Amino acid sequence: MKKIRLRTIFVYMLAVLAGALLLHTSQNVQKEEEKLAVITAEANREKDSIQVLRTEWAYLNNPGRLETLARKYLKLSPPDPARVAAEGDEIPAKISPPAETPLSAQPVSYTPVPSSKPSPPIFKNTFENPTIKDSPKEKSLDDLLNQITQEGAE
Amino acid sequence: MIFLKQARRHAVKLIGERSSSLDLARGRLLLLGAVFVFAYMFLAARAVDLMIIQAKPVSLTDNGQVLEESPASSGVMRADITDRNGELLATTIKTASLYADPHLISDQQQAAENLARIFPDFEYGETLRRFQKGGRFVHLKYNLTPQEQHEVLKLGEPGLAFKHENRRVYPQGPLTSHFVGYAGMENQGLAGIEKSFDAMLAQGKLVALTLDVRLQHALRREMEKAVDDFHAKGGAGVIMDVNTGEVLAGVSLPDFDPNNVVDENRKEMFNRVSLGTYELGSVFKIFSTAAFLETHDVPMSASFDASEPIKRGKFTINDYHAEDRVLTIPEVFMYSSNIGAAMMGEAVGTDRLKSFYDDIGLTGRMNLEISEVGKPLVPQPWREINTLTASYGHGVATTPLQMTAAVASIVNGGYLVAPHLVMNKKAEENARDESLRVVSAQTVHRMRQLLRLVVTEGTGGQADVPGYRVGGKTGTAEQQSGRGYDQSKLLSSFIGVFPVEEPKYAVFIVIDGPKPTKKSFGFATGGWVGAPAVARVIASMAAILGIKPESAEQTADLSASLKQFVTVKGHD
Repeated sequence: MKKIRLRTIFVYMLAVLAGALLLHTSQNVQKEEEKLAVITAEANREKDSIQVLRTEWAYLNNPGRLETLARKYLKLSPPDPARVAAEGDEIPAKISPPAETPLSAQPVSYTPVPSSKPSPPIFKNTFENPTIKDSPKEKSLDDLLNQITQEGAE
Repeated sequence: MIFLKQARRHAVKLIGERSSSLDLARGRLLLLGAVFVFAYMFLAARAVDLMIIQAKPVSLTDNGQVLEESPASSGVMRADITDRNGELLATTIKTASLYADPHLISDQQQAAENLARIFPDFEYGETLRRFQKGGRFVHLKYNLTPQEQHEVLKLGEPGLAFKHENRRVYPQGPLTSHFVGYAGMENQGLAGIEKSFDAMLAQGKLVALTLDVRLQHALRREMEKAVDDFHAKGGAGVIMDVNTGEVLAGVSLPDFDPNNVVDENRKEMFNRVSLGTYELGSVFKIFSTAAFLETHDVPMSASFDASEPIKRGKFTINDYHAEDRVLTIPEVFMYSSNIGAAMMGEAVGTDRLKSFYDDIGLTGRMNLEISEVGKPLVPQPWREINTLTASYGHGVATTPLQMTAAVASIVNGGYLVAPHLVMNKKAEENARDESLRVVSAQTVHRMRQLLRLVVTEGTGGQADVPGYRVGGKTGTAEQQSGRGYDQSKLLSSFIGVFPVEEPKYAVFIVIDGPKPTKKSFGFATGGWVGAPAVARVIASMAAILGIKPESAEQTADLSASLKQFVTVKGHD
């Protein structure tokens, strides 16, 4: 009889343990589900905002707007077909510097010619004055962006 | 635990004694008590679970007021429509609409004040009046921008809430309006691709069109310029891949913004490219000449006497660019002689010309992916005189799109192409099937020569783009007004194909009602209105698509061999 009693108690304890475990697991599952719901909602929100941004990107990049902006801010225009070289070898060759006089043809005695002016710099700095007046570069980036956005919205 | 100890004590007590009925009863009572204790423990655990562990902040969901979270939109979002390069033409975004529950607003004056600050078009007094009018639902504003929504959220006013709605937007604005169409308030397609692919789009399946927004823009820009320059009413234009029939661009002017459709019956909603049918005039000489060359094996030096107008009953056929002499085939074509074309049509014969027009797809309703397709008008009954007038494009009205497809079918090597708008790999595979042949290779070559001649020597000189060898044909038709034709209401058009030796693209522009200007020396004909516009479109296309130009020295001009049959008299 005693055996049976002990076993009963053991079974009771097992049942309680199982119940506790079950509760614990179900709690975990619920917590995870909540997390998942939060993440899914966040992902959906992100998806929605990506969609909005994609739309805005398409709107801001519509060819008409790009053309207007390019005309305003770039000093570029579509190339005249006559100026397009179809093949690479149509580009005229670079003019080579005059060949050096061979050594044998040089005078034996060398007297340096006194130069009156300093020798010209090898590279002419064409970017001496990079800031052009009224150039959009002078404005701050924020101003420029604002301006572009406003014009695009027109 | 205490319970267990007690249970054990009782059990021990019970062991020593012989069971009696009292003990039995006690034992049963104990068991029953244990069951209840377990049951209450379970309930307690469940209560702790519900009240503490799963506890959620008090939600406003009961009032339908979810400030940020909104249940996922029912079903799938309506799918995008893109161009051939994946640029968005139509898409769906979730937008928020603002509404208020005045009962929940703590300070209505403050709320009205704040709203007037965020939305410039809100008036403080009006908003407050609506709050105070009662009712639990006050609709304030549709489709807030994300920034406006953020501003409203920052107010932290519990009585203001959002409703999320899916809204169809067209980022390209009016650029592709007639073909993409538009959708209504419940996102149901009402026109164009939106209508014809409604079921597919609603299921979330993307539709890619053959249009290219860059070409579309170039075509629209040049057409707008032509319409402005010549104070015209509108126009239609098509760019087509001649080998596949893909519509790369289609513009109908005036157009509309599909984001803001005011009235479905306004005239700018009308699709002139595929729904409008027009008597397009001399561009039809391409078809009558092709039919003539196809049915008559004659040298290009064959000639027609165009010195006298043709008189048939009460009809008189005159030349617009009158030469008053005997013209060879190339001359008839380049000077666009109605008399010569009518003679060719007569030589082909009514039945054969009619069936040729049918075969090349000019007279039947074309199959297109949108429902806005016009039915061409042919004379009923078709008399002998109609054959003559149809040879130069009078009396037969067709849509600009199928006219372009018919020209494409001749210049691409003689294979019939069907115009289409939706990307379709099969169409490319099916091209160049001999069963689709409409004209012979020899006719194709001759037609290409003739088209080039129009540009180098004839009426289409202004369509030339150096390096791209454009061929084409001008068309100037008088529009019917009442019972007759009105000389001051013109339809001036030009169909250009390039590069003419093996054309890849066809560009067709027709301008409705151009008025002569000083700049065009008083002309408003196809050569002055359509041709320069087509030339500008082709120059832009070359830059956009990266087509290499070829200098004149590299390629012998296709029309050179025809020049022996041409006498240039009094033409510059």
